[in-house]
Amino acid sequence: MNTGTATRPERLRDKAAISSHYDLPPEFFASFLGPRMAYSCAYFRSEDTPLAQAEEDKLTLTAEKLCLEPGDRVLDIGCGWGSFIHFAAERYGVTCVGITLAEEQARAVERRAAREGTRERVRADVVHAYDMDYGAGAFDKIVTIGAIEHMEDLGRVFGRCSEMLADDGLMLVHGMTQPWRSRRRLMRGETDEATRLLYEHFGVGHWHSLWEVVEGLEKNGFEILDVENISQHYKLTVERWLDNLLANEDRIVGEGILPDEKVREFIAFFAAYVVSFEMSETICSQVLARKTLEGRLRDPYPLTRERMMMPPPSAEEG
Amino acid sequence: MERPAAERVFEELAPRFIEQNPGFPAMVGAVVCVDVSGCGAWTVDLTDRPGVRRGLCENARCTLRISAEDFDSLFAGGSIRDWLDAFTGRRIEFSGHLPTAIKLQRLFAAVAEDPELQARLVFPDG
Repeated sequence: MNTGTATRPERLRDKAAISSHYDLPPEFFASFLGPRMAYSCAYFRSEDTPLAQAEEDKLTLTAEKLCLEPGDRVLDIGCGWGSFIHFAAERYGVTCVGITLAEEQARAVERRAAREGTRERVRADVVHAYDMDYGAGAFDKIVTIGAIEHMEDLGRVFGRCSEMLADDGLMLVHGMTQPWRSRRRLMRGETDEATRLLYEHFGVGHWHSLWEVVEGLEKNGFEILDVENISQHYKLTVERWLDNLLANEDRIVGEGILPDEKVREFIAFFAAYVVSFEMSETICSQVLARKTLEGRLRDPYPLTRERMMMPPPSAEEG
Repeated sequence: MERPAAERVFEELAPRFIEQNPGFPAMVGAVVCVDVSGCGAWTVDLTDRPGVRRGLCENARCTLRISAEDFDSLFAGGSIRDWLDAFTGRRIEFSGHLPTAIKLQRLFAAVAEDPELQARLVFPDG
């Protein structure tokens, strides 16, 4: 098993793949994402929940599953434009480091932290996940949202997480996987045109199966606490993105933010993603794990699941 | 002269596929219209009263517009990349709910891959 830092080819390949997608103009992403700029599955308490509320609910649910407490040190692997770390710092009084390979995203995180007066508590580093090294026990909580799709070797990343996590620390892995049948075909080297196109257009190329996520965590010092399948939430999320993008299509092209062909590409992929979630060809899950301390006494995790669940909408919320 | 592929697909192969795969309409659960310029227009009803008929309708969840030439070439073994290129190049236009049309594309793919159905189809280049 390779536990070393990223090789130069790995760095170049992954940086190019990530940059080709995430270094597109932020105004483009802002045209279809919600106000938190969360480029991942939101959480819908009902089918009619607006995207902005669903974004907030996903961030809250994630923070609650991680049992965030003031003063916690949090690492976000693949932090994007910082939706989670800004939220966590603002609502839970934690200190956050985000890592990304997209320089434009890191700059956006720093700009927002400066604007919101949270520079002491929110930072983004341009670091490959294989290279992250913040020292043993540097964090109380680690989260990775929508980034495992960019990671070829999950064990290599989770092993580093285990080292950097304090005893009893929690880790939440939120990401897309594929069913075992299609994963097995890929492992046998059978070509898959859709996967190649996704890598080419979105920079995402590693469609693991859910058991590989669980295996990667267990083999690297984690105990699984909870797995929640949130595929239906991702379908609703992408439907909202698609609606927003179609509503803004003319403006994006007219203002020269992106060429028409590129916008159409996103429209096509979003539509395909909706179907792919509906047909269980793509699965999205949140996996919550705790650093294992085999044979040692430790604080128990809460007996009940209150902090892992989002209540249904109230009558006023509809 | 051979009939255009769109005509054969919508008037022979798609109805037969729907009949042989009764679960497919339920998976889509919507009406989709396809306007093939220079050839004709069809309404593909993939609800609990499935079927294909000529002409457009007003209650379509999605309407696709494509030229007969593009339809022929894409249907005759077009890859996902070919479909994507046609879409990004605006050779396929749509109105309504695009994911529903993607499901229809699954029907096209299934029809195109079915050897029995394929044997009944004579493409322009062969």
